[in-house]
Amino acid sequence: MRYKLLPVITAGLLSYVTLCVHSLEAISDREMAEVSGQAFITIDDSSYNSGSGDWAGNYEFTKVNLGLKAETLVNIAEVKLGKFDRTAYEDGTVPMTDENRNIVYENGQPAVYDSDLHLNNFALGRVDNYMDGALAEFVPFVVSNPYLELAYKIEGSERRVAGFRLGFENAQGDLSADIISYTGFLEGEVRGSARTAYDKTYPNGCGFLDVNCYALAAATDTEIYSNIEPLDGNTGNGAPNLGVQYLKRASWFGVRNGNNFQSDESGLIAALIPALTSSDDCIILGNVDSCFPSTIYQSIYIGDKDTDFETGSASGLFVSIQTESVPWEDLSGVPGSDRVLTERGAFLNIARYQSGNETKFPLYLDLDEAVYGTPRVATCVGRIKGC
Amino acid sequence: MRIIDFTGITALLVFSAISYADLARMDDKQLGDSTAAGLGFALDDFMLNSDSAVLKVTGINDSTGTEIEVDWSELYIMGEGSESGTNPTTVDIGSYLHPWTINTVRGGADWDGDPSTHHSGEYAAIGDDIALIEINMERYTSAAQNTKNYVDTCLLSSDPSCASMAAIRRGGIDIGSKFEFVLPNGSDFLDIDIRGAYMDGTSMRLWSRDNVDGDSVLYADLDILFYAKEIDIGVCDSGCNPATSSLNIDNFYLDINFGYGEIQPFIIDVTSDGHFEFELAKPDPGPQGVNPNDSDAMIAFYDDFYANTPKSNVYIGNIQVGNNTAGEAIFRDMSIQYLKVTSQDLN
Repeated sequence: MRYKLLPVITAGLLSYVTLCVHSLEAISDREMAEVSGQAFITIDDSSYNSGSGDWAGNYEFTKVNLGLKAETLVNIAEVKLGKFDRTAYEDGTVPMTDENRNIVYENGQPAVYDSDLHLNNFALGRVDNYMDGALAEFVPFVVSNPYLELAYKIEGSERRVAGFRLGFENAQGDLSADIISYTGFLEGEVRGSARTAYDKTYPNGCGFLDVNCYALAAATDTEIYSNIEPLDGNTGNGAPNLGVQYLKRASWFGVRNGNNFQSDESGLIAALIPALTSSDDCIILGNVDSCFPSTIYQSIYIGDKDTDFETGSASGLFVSIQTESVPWEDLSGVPGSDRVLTERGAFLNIARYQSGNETKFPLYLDLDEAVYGTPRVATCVGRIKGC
Repeated sequence: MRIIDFTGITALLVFSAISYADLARMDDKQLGDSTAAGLGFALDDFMLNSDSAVLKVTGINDSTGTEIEVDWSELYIMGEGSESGTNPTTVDIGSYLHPWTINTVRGGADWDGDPSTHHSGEYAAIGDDIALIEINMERYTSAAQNTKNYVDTCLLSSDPSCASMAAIRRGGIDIGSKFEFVLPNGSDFLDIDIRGAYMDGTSMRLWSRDNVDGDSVLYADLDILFYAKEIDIGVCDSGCNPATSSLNIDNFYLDINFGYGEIQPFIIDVTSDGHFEFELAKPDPGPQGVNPNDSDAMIAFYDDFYANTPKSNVYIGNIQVGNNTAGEAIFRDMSIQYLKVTSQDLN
C-alpha cells in the first residue's frame, strides 16, 4: 500500500524556503488553487511471512520514500557500524588475519575486527585532474529517491523494531575506502582471457607432461570469468562454504573454495576451463593466488561508468542495521530476486542489479585488477585522500 | 480536545549588556528606543504538555487517492526525569547568563588584509564588510556544561576528568510525541521519547552578498549540535512491553556543519518549477583573492580549506532492542566538499 504526503505541507515549505532576495510577487487565490502539489514524500507499508529458519514468522515494514536527487563529493575519515563483540566462526564471523593469511590471536583466541563495517578514508565521488589546482574537476556521486525503512517482527501481540535501512532507488559514481572489515554483499566479476591466466600461471612455459598447462595454453583467447566475493582469508571459504547468508567482518575478497572460472564459449578446451580453474585454499591453477586483501580494492564504481545516470545507475544499494534477522525486500530489479536475508548487526548491500535486460555487477575487474587491486580515485584536490 | 498548556515562561530579555542586577520590566517606549545589537531570551521553569490533545494532519492520500490521517498526540517538552512525560518536570531552556540569542554582527575576515583573520576568531571566513544575522542556542564556556566538549571528553574518549564533569553537568530536556498513521488496513504507531537532550552550540548565520549576476543572494552557515542520552522508539499502541519491543538508542550525538562562511556557503533556493534546492557550494577561492587559474595557488587554497573547515561527526553509543544489540555507530571527520539536493516528484 502506498501513501503520499501531498500538496499542503510541500507547497507551504516551498514557498517559505525562497531565500534569493529578488522581489517577490504575491499570487492570487486563483493562481494558488492551480498549483498542483508534488508527491515529495510517499509512505509504503508491506508485510512478509514466507520466510524460513531465522527469517520465519511475520514481518511488517514501513518505508518512507523521499523525492530527492542528490549529488555529492564527501570524505569521511572513519566509518564504523555494528561495533560490538563477535566470536570467530560463529554466525559466519571470520577471524582477523595477517597479510600472509595467518590468523591473528588475542588472549589465545582468534581475533575479530571490532566492527561489522569499518571503512577508513571513505569517500563518495571523485576529483579528476586532482594535482592541477586550476583544472581539478569534481565528479560527484549521484543518488535519487533515497528511502528509510523500518522493519518490525510480530510475535503474538508484540510488535517490535527489528531493523532499519537507508537505501537509494538509484545510485551512480565512485565509492572509495580502505575496507578494513566488511559485512554484507559485495558482488564483483573478474574477466580476462585464458592467455592472461596462462601467462600469469606459467611464465616459463609448460613443464613436461603438464596437461593442465597444455590445456590452458590451448585456450588462448577464450574469455573466462568468475565471481568474486568476501572471503575468510585464512581458509578461502565464502559464505556458501560455511552455510551462511554472508560473512561477517571479512577482510579478504576473491574466488571462494570450490568456485571456478567459467567460459561462455563452446568447444572442448572451453569446457575444461571450470575444472582447470577451481579454487582451493586461495589457489587456482596450482600456484595462482585467488584471495586478496580487501584494502587493495580502493575504489568501486557503482553503476555503469560509460552511460548517464538515467541508464547507468545501479539500484538496490542500501546500508542497514538489524537487532535480529530481517528479510528486506530486494529492490535490485534482478529477475527472480525476492528478499535480502540479513542478520543482527550492520549490513552493506552492493550487489548485482538490473539495467534494462542485463544483470550487472557493481564491480568489474580484469585479471590484473583482481590480483593487484583497483587504485583509488582521488577524492581531494592536491592529494588522493585524507582531506 | 484540550488546549496545550504552557507553564512557567518567565523571561524575555535584551542581552546586549548582560547584567547581574535585578531585572526591571521595560515599557513599550523604552523597548522601542532600544537599538540592541542582539536579542536574547530564556525560558525559565518551562514545561509543555499537550496531554490528550491531538493534532490531525490531513492532505495525505494513498496511491488510490483515498485520504488517510496522521494523528499527532502526546507532545511534551519537560525537564530530564519526566519519565517519558508522565512525571511533570520543569526545565530551563537557556538562562539569563546563557540565553538563546539573535544578533547582528560583523564578519571577522579581512579578505584584503591579514590572512590570519580568515580562519580565526568567532566570525571567520565571513568578510568584515558583511553584517550577518546570527541565531545561537545557548553557549557555554564551562567544560562540563559545553555539550561538544563534554561529548568529546566523556564519549569519544575516556578522559579521567569525565566523572567530575558529569557530576556537575546540568540536566537536559525530555521531548516526546506519538504519531498514529491511520491506514485503510490498520494503524501504524511511532512513539518517540527523547531523554536528556541538549542543543547548546547550535547556530545559524545568514548574510547576503551580490552574486556574479549582480543579484543579492542570501547565504547561510549552519552548525547543528544535538546530543541525547537516550532515544526510545516504540511501534505499538498498547499490548507491548517497551523493554522488549522498543528501539533503544543510547548517546545519540550529531555535530553537523553545513557551510564555511563565504568560502563554502550553504544556499537554499527554489527552482522555477517549484522544487527546493539545497546546495553546499564547491569551495570558492574568490573571497581570499586566490587566482583560480594558478594551479599552485589553488592547491594551497585547498590545503588551507581542508585544514580549517569544521568537520562533521556522528556518534551512536548503542542500538538495542530487548537484549539484542547492534552496537555502536561512528562517522568521524566528515568533510563535504560539494552537495546539491533537489526535490523531485515521486511517481
